[in-house]
Amino acid sequence: MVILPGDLYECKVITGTALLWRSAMRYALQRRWQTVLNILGITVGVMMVVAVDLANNSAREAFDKSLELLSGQITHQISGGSNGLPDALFSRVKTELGLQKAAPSLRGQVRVNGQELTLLGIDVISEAAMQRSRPGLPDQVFAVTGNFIAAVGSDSSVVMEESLAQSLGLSQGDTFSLRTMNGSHDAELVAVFQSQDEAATGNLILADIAAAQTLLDRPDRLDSIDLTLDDTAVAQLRSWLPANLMLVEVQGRNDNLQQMSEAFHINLLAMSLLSLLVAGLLIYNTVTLSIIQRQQTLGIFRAQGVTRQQVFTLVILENAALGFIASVLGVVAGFLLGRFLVTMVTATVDNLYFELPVTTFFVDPRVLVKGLGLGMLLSIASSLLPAMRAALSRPVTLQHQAAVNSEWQKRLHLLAVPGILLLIGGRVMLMPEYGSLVTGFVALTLMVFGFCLLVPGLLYLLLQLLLMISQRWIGLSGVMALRNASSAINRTGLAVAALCVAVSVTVGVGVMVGSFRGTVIVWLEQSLPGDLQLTATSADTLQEGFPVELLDELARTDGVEGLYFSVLQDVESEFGPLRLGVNAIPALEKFYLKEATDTGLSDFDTGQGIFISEPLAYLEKIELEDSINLLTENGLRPFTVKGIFFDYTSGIGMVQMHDSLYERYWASQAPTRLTLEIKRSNDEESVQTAVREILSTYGSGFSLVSNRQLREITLQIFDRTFAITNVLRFLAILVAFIGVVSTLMALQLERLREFAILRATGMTPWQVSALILKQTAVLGFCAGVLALPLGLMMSEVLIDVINRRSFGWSMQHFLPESVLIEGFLLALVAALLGGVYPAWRAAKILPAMALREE
Amino acid sequence: MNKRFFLISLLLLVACSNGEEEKITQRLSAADVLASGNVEGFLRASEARRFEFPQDHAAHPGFRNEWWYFTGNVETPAGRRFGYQVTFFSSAIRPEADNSCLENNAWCTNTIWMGHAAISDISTEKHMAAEIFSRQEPGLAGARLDPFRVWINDWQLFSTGNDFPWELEVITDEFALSLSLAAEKSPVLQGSNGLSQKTPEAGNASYYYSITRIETRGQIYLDGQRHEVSGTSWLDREWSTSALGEDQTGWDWFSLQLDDGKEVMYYQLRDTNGNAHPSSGGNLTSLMGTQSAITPQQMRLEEQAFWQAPDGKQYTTGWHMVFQENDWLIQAVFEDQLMDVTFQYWEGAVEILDTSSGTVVGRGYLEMVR
Repeated sequence: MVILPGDLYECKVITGTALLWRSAMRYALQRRWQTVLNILGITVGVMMVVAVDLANNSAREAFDKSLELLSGQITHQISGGSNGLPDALFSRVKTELGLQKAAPSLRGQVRVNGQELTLLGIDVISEAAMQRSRPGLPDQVFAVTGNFIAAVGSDSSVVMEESLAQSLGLSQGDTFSLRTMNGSHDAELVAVFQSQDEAATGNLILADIAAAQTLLDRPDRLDSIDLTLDDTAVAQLRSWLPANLMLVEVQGRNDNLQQMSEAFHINLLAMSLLSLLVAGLLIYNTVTLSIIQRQQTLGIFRAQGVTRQQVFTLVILENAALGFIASVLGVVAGFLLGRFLVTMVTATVDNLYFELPVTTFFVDPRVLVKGLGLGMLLSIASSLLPAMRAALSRPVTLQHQAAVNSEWQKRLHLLAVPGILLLIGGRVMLMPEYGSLVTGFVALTLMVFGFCLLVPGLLYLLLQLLLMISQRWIGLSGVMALRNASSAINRTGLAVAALCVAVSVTVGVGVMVGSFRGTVIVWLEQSLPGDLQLTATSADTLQEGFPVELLDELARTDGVEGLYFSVLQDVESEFGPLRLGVNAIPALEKFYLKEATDTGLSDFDTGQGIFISEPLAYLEKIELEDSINLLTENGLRPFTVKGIFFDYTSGIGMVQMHDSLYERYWASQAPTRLTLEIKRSNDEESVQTAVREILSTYGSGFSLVSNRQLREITLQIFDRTFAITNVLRFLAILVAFIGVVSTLMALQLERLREFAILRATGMTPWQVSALILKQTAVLGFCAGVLALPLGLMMSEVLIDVINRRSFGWSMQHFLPESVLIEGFLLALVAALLGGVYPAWRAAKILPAMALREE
Repeated sequence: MNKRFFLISLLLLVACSNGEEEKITQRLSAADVLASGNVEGFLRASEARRFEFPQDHAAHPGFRNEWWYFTGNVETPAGRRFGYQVTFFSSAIRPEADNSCLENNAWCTNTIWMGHAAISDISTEKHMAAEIFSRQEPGLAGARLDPFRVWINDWQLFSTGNDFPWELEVITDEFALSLSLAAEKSPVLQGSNGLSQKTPEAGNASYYYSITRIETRGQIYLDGQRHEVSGTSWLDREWSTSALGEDQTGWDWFSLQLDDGKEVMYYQLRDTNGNAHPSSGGNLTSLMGTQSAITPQQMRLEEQAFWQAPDGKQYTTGWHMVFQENDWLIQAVFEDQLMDVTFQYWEGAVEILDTSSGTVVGRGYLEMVR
């Protein structure tokens, strides 16, 4: 056989590549703990992104569906505020104006077999003319068993989705009892349908308008008339409509709601991306370390003729493989976690905006692919730099780590300069007060990156400082620990930066949530004054208000110090529906004002102006002395804004006005709420019992709640709302933990030979272990110290920019010390844990074996 | 006459659906629909009745289906010709057992309405069709006597009193028409004294009368232009609780107005093979309004020209009609007069030509359901 030179060359390349791969494999297996940690870091990062993404998507899907289901694809809506509108108007719209694309709706909450459901009254014939499809509702009647049409025009027939009927234990033809606030009615389930989309219909009972009016006790009323109109029809309808009704553009309203839910989703996504950033730093760090650990092997390969290209490819492919495994695991874990998170996100949307009839887990395959891609990309991108270094270095330098380290120390300022620039850039981006949410996040990211670049420099300075201060007390091993950490600043700097970002995320979010909670507590105490609250709940009492005799009796009750009326209702405005609060308490005692005009308080009390909530002012860019239009009993009327108060209640804005002003524009409305103040000397419980006794003689049209309980409930809702934040915070900590343990472990393992020398020169195993632990403790300490300013900076941005831009909420800064201490301890414990295994290994080292090659 | 019955029954099934007619019609044959039609509790046309006018122009509650069906040929003073069709269909979902629901709630209703309107612009050979659906209550649609008014939302047929002259007003996205209608002849009772038997089964019949010649004047609004028009219309009125026989799948229906003052109504039911079904028949009205029946045995109908609709169904646009001393060619004024609405059928203006001389001897309307 003749071997040609070309064959030889081929032969060599093949064995060379195979050898390289085998070497990489052996390395991964030998350092399996490090490999596992490395994979775990990416896995958790990817898991967070995927889970949050899936949960967000499901909630958003549900949110959109609900909007669509309730309003459909329509352009306008005739709406009459909280009282609805007379149904005769609908017939006139169709017969006098000939508007074909008009459909009435009436809805309310009902309770069936203990389950809270939405009853939606529609006219299917009008729906057909609207040519809109409401998601989930059958557009193929043949999927319907039973007579769907039988519900049309009947005052007791209802229709529902099959699985809902099953869960209620009902089948077609059954008669069942349906409870509303005002009593109960019998309804017949005349048909069930199979939904194309259970997400949209799983909580919905459908009925004809006739049945909805009867079952909800709202005769002759509609909530709204949905319309699809062109411009001429809009003008025609506007001039035709009675003054107390309003034609609202639907798109704007939905946009507003969607925008707010979007902001919430972005908030969550930002948190998951921050932890991915941490995971990225972690990967970069470990890949670099793995290169350094294999410097000898790689150096030998290079010396034997393996090309730079091959070394580069090896490192990249190796990490791509690891990244792939980790990402797949991350996607699977994210899928599982997402199932859990979706209920939490949905609960938040429920609490903040409106009830979602849904919680179906919606899996968009793109999210899974995105998670996979992000994980891979991150692994490859973070290994790019180390791979290049490995490839570009000469065979000799690869073997001299010390040279690299000293080079790094000289270059720290080169990192610091762009770091400072990024910080300044981020800060500048935050300057305009009304900037967009996206710029807010970009700025935050820039600032975090900038800070990361500063970390090695700051760490170096910090270590020098520590060395200076403590040289005298810490002894030789302490000095060694500090010197070592600062000489390997390129490694330790990264580890500390990763730990720092991770811990700062927990600190930042912790401070943000804490501040928010603190603000809410203060606000609650001021906005829910009084002790007991009596609310009219039945149709009669809502209409008539409180009987005079009842008021007399209450005023005479022992322990009652004072009582005053209030109103809380929906009101249509140029910005869509708003909450309107009314009472006669002087503004000074009631409001937690953000700002007001000079005469704002007295103007309010004399009915010359109104106060609006901060979110409304922020989102609609309303300023003091602006006027806004509200739909009164006499049509749209302008009201001057005299003050802006803090408010954290709901997605829709709130307006407050004094009783005297309200009476002028809503003359026919009786007050529906009564607040009782209890003398300090009396026990709330006993007064409450006395009031209940009085109420029992006035029928069932009133409900009594304790404002203290209400405050507690509100706080509970708040905590539930932010429960998901805590889950994510915990996960961010987990990523940080893994990152730190893995980085520090690698750092110390790399230096086992140094420890062997120390052992050979007379140090006891215990002394070596202590040295390692001391060093990791120092690094943990530094990371903790550096994480606090970064965390506070983050919380600042989250509080003042992100949440303000998303929700229009501004809050006071509360600094929960526990969060800071937690963060600091977290850094320290993580660091120490990272040192345990290397310390154990170093103690067991046999100097002779380790130094055989020296 | 069964023809509109088919439509109204289907209406019930798709009233709450959107589009997808094709799927629906494929899945439901006419026989399926009519076989499943629930007749229990409804009044039925089982024996001859006394017709009274103007009372019978208004609604007949208790029957399942009822319609007011106008067709007509009109032209402008300059001779631009149009055909038109306007129909008000009503259909009850449930028999009217008791009225207590409506007393308590204005939205209670058991009746659903469907309107069809079409214009055939003969000069441009353009056919436009529109439809409208509505529940009856609260006041959205209905038919009442005093003053006379039949309406579906803003489509309406009305009078200041309770008899002719009537005003017909329809506004659609594409066109509008406003016509004054004055009957030139008394109502013609179709079938046997107004009882039109659909199948041999008792009660499977309708009450059916026509006003075969109505003087028509008014305006047609098209492409932003107003056309003053005049001409002749035809009204078919029918109410029933009937069903198609199992072997009946469609029909051809002719309403012909001859220049010499005669009118002919003839319908031919088609069986599953496309042949004429024995339950066919018609009526000849003389200039003076006297009637004589036309039996299927007397009638010879030959199909001569065809047009295929986009869905593949074939409609006959040229007919050779021979009965008694009459020998006519009946030709569509143009081919595509397909009612492209939720339930498709062909309904269009025709010309009547004398076969031997080839001269136009009258105009009319032709309906084909396949």
